[in-house]
Amino acid sequence: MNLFRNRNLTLLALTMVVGAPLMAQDSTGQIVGTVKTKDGKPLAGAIVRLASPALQGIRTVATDANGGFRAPLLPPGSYTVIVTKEGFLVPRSEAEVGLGQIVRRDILAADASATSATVEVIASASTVDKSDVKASTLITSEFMDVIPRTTRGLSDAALLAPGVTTGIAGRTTIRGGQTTGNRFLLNGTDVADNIFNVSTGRAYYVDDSIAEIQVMQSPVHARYGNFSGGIVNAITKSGGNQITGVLRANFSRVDWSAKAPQGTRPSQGSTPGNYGKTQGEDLLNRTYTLQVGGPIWKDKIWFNVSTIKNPGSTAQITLSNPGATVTNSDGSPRLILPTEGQSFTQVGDTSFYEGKFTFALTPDHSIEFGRTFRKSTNSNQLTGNSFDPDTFYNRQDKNEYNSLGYRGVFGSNLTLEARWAHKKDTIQSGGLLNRTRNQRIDVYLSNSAYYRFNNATFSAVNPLERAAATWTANLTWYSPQTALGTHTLDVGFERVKTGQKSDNAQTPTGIRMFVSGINPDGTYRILRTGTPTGGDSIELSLTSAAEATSLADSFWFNDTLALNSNWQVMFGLRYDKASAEDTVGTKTIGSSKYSPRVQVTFDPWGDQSWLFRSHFAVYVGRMHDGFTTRFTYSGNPVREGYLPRVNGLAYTYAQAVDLNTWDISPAGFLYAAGGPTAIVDPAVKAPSATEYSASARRNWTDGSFLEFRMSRRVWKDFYNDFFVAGDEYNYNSLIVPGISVRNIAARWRTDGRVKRDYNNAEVEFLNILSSRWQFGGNYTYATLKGNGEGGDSSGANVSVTGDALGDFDAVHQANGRDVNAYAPYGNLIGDQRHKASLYWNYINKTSQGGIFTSSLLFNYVGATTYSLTRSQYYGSEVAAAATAAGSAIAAQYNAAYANYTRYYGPRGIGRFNDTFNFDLKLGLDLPLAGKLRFFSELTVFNVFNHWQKSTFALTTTATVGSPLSNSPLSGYRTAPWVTSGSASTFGDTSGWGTSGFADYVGGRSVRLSTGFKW
Amino acid sequence: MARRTRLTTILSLLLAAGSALSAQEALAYAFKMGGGPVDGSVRKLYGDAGFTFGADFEIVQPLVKGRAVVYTIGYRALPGDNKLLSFIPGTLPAGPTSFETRNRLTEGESWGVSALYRMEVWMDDFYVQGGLKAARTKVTETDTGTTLGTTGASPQVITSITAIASKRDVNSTSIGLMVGAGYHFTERYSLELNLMQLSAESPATSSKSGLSAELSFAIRF
Repeated sequence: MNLFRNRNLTLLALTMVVGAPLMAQDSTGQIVGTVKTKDGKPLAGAIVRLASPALQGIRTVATDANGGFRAPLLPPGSYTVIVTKEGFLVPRSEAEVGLGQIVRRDILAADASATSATVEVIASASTVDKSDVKASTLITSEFMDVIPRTTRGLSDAALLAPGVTTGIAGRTTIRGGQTTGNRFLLNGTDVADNIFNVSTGRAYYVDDSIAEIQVMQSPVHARYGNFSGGIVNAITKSGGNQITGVLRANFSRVDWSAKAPQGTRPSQGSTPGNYGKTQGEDLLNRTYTLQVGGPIWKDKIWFNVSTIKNPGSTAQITLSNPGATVTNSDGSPRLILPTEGQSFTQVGDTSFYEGKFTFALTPDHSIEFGRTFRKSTNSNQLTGNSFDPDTFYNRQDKNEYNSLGYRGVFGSNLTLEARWAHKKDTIQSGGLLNRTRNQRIDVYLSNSAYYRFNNATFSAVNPLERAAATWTANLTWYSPQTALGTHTLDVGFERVKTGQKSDNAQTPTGIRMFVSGINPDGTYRILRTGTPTGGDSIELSLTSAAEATSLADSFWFNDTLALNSNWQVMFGLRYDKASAEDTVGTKTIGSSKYSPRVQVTFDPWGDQSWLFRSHFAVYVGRMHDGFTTRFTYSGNPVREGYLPRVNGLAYTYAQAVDLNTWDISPAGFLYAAGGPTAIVDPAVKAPSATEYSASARRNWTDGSFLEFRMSRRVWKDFYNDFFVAGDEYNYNSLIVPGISVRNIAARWRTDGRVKRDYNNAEVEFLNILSSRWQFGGNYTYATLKGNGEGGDSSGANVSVTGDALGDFDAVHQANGRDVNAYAPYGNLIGDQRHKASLYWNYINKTSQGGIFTSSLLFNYVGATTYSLTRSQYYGSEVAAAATAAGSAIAAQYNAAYANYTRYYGPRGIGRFNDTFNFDLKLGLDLPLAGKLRFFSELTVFNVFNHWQKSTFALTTTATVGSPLSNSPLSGYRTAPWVTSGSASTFGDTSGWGTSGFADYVGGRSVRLSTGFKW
Repeated sequence: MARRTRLTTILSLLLAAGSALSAQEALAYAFKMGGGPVDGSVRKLYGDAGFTFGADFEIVQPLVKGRAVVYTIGYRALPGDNKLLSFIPGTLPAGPTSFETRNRLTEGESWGVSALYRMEVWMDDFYVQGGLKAARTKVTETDTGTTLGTTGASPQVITSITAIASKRDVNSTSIGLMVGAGYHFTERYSLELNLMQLSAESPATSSKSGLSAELSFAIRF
């Protein structure tokens, strides 16, 4: 009667598996085990052969005196294990090796001379061996085939793992770390870059080429570093001895989505973004991908190539149309071009290719080369006001990634992995030198706006380049049995060098002019008014393109010591040294730290049915990506402005751009601008996280497991980037001797007052219910507290596109205020109390070869917090005050604290509403002819169309705050908190898609993915 | 277990205590997680969020064949939805000298124990159970918002602005009935549906009661 009993259990290949904490390789797995006779005697000298579609050739190892064998550096995949020993019959067994997993197979051999020689494989309580030391979740490409996700990308997959949430700017947070504290690795090397806001490396892989993704919440092993959050490690497919591939088309359209409920307020205003068709034109969104892999030389050279194609996009852009009544700034008639108000078409297109080639020198030694190339072009781009089509420019974004890796097995006890990779992002945009009129001239009109003529803004001459190069090697030695047990020793190093090169000139020539008018005949009106802002001038970009770099060198040692079948101890030590140089070669920082790692594992029965584990680890984060931008001239060119020599009301173009027209002398000096906007304390340290963790795990022989984990992380050495009085520095004019100009910069420094603490309890499980059903998932209860979230609306303490830094202003300290008053401790943004992902998968393989899959995914998204305590920093006001007061910067700075708006109260006291939803995916995979198959996947997000109030607008009004007089908050300003609408209208609750005051989520949407596999 | 230290032996014996009993079918242990809707006046207390979820550790003490006593200890989360109690109008009318935007979130967490009588009813796969559940519930009420002080004149002039940021909590204990039915679909896994009474009080309200219906998935160790 029981529907679920007595079914075969064969679903492991599709599971999302928690790697029981164990040692891992970056891009491979291992099979370990023993071969013994049926009466328990070890069988030494048996030959163990491992074959797999993922492996070039056959890997052969021999059992040692204890009957043990180990096959490291195996590409992830399905393996057949064949053992031969003269006089014995040994069964063939199968093993599914996941990325970074150590899979165990214990095998019994039968005496061939026995009258009834039967053979068997011992059922291991866990597929994953306890010598794997990390806490991680493995997500295979087959699992992503079944599970409903928006994309198959790294961040979407990572969110399925416990302890992973969405943080600032939609980026990934792992175990409470800053979103910039993670590493996203592709084939073993970094692809993330927060400055270009591609923190998940999305530009470097085609979804269908991803073979496996490993989400490491806590790697523990000393091999892993340069992170203070977690690691998302992905490998791409390698091809095989058979030609395989996928041709996929993804479709979605706005009209397939449910409409948001309309608000109930009478004063409904603008149309909400989630209101059905009106969120945009009802276009059919299409994406096509192709992935093909196979042999070039069987068992020697394999290839895998993939590409993605989105139909080119078009959009309309309209040039400015100031109107005929707008004149030159002095009231004279201006030039009116026929292009005013005219529309032009922008065309966007993207090319995306990815390839990987694997060369097997022998079954024990292989070389892997990978390359990604992505180019995106967009025509007719426009920056600022213009009615001159000559100011259009074309933009080109390129992403290139090359990697070269070596894996070698030497004898039975030694392995070596080495890898080099280089990634480069290039943005080429702006004007060109080869224009007939290549000097950009900005004309000031009577409507108080500047309009650009002749050439585009910025420069395409020196593209902006960001590059990252990685070198890494790891040597592993497996000791024979000693009196203390067996050791797995790892030593290695890693070097990560990142750089940015750019001049970011405002024009292709490095020169631009500001003039008072352009006459109907095209001549220019240039006046010597001497006003620093708004006056006619020539501006010269004076710093050339140069590269700023940062370097991280790491060395490690790690020993995993198996004392006996019950106890295992791992200890490691890692050394990380970081340094950076600015564009003129000056060393800006130098930080070094040691990070110890210790873990104890207890296996009470020696069979891995129960594992108890505890660890202590320090994770040293990498230096912020901003170190290649904030303290350098790269992207911050020094610019100097000079007056015209005399007034002229009809300068021709040639005369206007003639340097002799301008007074480039002390008398004509008008202003200086640009240059680094921040100063870094040379003693700054890399942030680090100390983690304590304990776990208990129950394993079953069918691959099911249930694991409980608790962890605590405490970070230290965060940056603080607020102004410190006296941090201004002086420019000396690069053209005219004797001129010095003050520049104000924020100082980045390590501030011990910035706190961030994370505590969590996780449950993760996989239940193989039958050969067709599985139920898995996880739940995380977590708190994230601290006092350094920063992230105010002014952006002054947000490091470009990185996480918020500390926001403590020295002025409060200087005024004797308690840190708990201006930077109270509480729930940080990103504090997500509850988070769960549960899935029910059903897979039915028919006798005709068809496969039907369905998956229902439940997502519980705990709400994050909002805070009435934050700082809003008026950096521009301080700068203006300093400029106005000449050298009295410190006094102005101290006086300016009254211009800070502070919302006081406990940090993160408010919390939005929790939400949950169900996603459904139905898949059909049918054989057509030969190996050709047709597949179709229908994904319905929010299948029950369960609309829920999630957040509400929190708008503060900065301008009407009144200073407080009560100590210790004296001098702070508060401002009203309103629930929606604009800053000028308290309590404006208008808006569609709102009911009462809330914003809704949870509307149903549909995506169809279909194509062919072979 | 080829080599075993004394410490290993001691720890193993401690851990074995429960499992050994389990092997004799004296006791069984399970982990159970689930959730479901909440209704009644207590639903209003939590801002109409209307659901709960949580997990329990379960100990099953067999009595005679097909009969057992079940003890559980577990945690429940009772999320709340934000409610806007008042808001400052877009245009401040003359007269009042104080305006307020006040938002309230009321949410609960509960730790509870239960004792149930379980009886198998059909082919050993289905069972029904009933008993009592006691819970200690902490309800937290968080208010956020802004208070404006004004002159009362026409047009209004703002004279002061104060942030509302307060958190209050209250603990209460409740005992309620719990009944349910379950299905063992393998020896390891079972599915349960339980109805249970629950009650709680918040800082702003007296005790409210209601009923929750929880669907749970249990994994036997």
